[in-house]
Amino acid sequence: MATATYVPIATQTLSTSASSITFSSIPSTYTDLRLVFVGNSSAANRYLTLTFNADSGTNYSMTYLVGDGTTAASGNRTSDTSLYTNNYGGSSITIPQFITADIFSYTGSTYKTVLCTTSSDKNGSGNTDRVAGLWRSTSAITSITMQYLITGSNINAGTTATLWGI
Amino acid sequence: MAVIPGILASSKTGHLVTSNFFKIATVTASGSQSSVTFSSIPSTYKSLQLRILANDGGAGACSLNFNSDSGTNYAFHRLYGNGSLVSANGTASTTSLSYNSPSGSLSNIYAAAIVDIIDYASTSKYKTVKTFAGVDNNGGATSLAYLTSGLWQSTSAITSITITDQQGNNWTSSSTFTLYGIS
Repeated sequence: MATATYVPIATQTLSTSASSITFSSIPSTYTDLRLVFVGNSSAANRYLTLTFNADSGTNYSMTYLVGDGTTAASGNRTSDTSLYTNNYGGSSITIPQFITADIFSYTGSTYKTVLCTTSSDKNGSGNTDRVAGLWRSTSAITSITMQYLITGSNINAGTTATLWGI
Repeated sequence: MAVIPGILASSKTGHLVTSNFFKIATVTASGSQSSVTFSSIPSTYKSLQLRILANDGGAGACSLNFNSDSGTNYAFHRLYGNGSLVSANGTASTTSLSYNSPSGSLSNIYAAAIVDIIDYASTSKYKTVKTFAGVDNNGGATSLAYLTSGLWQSTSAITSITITDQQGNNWTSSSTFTLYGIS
């Protein structure tokens, strides 16, 4: 029999707003990680970003593909201080976004590739996004911090983030 | 595992092991192969998921074949962006299903792909495949985000899957291919 493997490592549900959510001391026993975030921000049009191992150097980049209900677009961000899970439209104050991030070989010795999806419909506006992201570090990932950028936006109460091990 | 709440975050830290996602097999490339095959796939699951992290030292696309079928029984549509432009195209009646993740061309940068194969054991339906793949190299030319829908026009149950580097490049020895079954 094959081995069952899709394990919720931890979940956080915010009872009040917070500037960030962090999962730390992530065990090294899985092949990949999957982060699932359902939530919104205290200020509109913000982007959820990920920081690994508290690294705030310019070691993150991403390429995105997005549709906003009218057009499709692609762009990128380079040498950022965190990994943008999307870069188009942004968040809502009231309507939750559904964001996933698959982090491949998170304990491996190569740079870390991340595939992100964002589903963010606002009843007349919104977008669906796909992102290929990169953290240029050979370190194993032991912590992940989620934060809305541009600076100055909290993550609203009621937001839920779950980290899965695969 | 420690959970650091933002402010007064509630947490559920129980390790609830879900029971419907199973690792079937993992292949780590030898460094001298341009294809990988999963064979004798059991028919006991509803769907399959391939998770791939690969680098071929070039920028080759990748393709899938099922049950060693190299006939013109595959078709696919793609939507992709390279950091500047969005493109879409499709191919009918072709000999493999290209999921077109670039394999990666720079050392330490690996392309990732998630390939979902729905109802793979059916003996009455053609097989539908969904992929999400991509790679980023900090603004470099090979950065891509890729979506593909694919079709294998066969009612045979899938018992083997071959992943091939279409340029014939060898995958580096850190490249990994893992097949999961979802019940």
